[in-house]
Amino acid sequence: MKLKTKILLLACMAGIGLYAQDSIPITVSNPANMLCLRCHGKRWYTYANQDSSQVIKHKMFKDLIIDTVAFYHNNHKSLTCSDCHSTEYSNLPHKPDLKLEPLLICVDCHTDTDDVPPINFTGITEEYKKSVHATRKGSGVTCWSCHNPHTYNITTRSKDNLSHVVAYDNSICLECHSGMGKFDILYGDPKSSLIAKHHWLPDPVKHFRNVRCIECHAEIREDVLVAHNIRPKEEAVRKCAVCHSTDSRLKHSLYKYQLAQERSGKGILSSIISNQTFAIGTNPSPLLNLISLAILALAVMGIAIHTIIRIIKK
Amino acid sequence: MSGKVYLYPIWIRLWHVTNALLCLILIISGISMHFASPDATRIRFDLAVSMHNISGVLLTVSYVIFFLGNLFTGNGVNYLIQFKGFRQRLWKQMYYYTIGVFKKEEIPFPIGSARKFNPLQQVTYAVVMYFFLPMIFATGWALLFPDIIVEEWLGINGFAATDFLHTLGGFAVSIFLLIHLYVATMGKKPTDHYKAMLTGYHEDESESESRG
Repeated sequence: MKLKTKILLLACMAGIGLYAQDSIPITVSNPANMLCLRCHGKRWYTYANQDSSQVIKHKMFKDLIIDTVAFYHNNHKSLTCSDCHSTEYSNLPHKPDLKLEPLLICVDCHTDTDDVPPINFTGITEEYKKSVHATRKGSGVTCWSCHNPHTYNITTRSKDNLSHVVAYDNSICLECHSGMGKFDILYGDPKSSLIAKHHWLPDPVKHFRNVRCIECHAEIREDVLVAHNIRPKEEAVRKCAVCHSTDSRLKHSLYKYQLAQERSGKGILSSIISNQTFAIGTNPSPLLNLISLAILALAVMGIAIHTIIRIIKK
Repeated sequence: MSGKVYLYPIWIRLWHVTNALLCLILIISGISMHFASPDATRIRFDLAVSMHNISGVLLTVSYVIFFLGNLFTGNGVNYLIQFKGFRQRLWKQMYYYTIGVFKKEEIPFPIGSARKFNPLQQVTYAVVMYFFLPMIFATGWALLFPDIIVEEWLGINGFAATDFLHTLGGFAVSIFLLIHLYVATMGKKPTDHYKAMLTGYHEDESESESRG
């Protein structure tokens, strides 16, 4: 850390009478955020009462703790706290009415881009509004419920490894729907388990590792990269062949970005060889199918001709 | 039993019929999965998967029995190819199947107690039993436990490559089965070979030839 930055930080801390006590490492990337993260980057925070000089220690409310390491690795890492939150938060203690501050939603900053395929934030918003997350009374699910702006990383368009995309995206759903935590408390079924609920799948664990929950639980819209119209469980896909077929649903959801990239940037052969978009039944090559059928037809024809000549020559 | 020779002991016949039935189930369920479609009236996908998995495991067990049987009973000798002059013998057999049989020529390699397979059978069975089936088992078990498959090697998707080899092996066995079923009708009577596989007794072609 540069000396100038250190002096600036010390001056800030001295000025407001705050100092760090817990030794949770803070990844310092943006000095402008240090003021906030000194308290919100820790489980416990302390401050000195300037009148009595008494040091007061408080536990930080769980939802207000920022994982600083995750924050400086997330997509919003270049932002400062005040880009999204009121600058009045720099006054301590915070004014109570700041809690009424309206929170931004994704589309307040994000607009549609020219990516291939496009993310289509407008479409996402429309789809979200139709989903059970928005329509179910009292669900209270907002953008932030799934996409924590302090830790969120976009995976679909940035990682080569699909298994990472699957694990990351499913972890978002499992935050609430793991069947072992909040979901059970909410619905009063402590014995529920995701595997038991998906017992009809030939191998639920294999599916959880290789496809996202939304593959079956969300309605696909072609012009939206990641489906956001989460449907009630009764409407979930239950026909295996919907995914395990030539026109697999996965090609319109999980594999959509990869396939679009391969089509736009690589040759046909390399996209066949190196693509990760594989599930039983989804990739039969039309050419190989044709060759196979031709060989089969030749064999049958050969047998038929042989039989006829045998009968004639009998 | 004059003119008949006991060629197929009970274990071979049981193995053979089990093998045939399991292969049929595997081919049907395999085709159903390969051409799966949500709209088509094929075998339900999850049912086809279960059929394929169970039959595949049973076929592996059946293969182990076949392999051990060949090792310990001497049946394996029939699969050992004598390479000296094999090409000529193979050609002779192919000539018989394509031309000679229509001219009522003598069987070039009559089946008897001394020879169970003609050269064409020998090479085909050896390739199917010792190349294609092991390949199908290796790739099939890998697809059953996909965690063991290397995800990517030299830019090749491990899952797609394993699936391709499995399908290729399955296709080869399917074509073999089709031709095998037909060639089996080429006894003196079309049903002779089928009967032999049920009773174990085959007409001693070498004896009838020497008597004739």
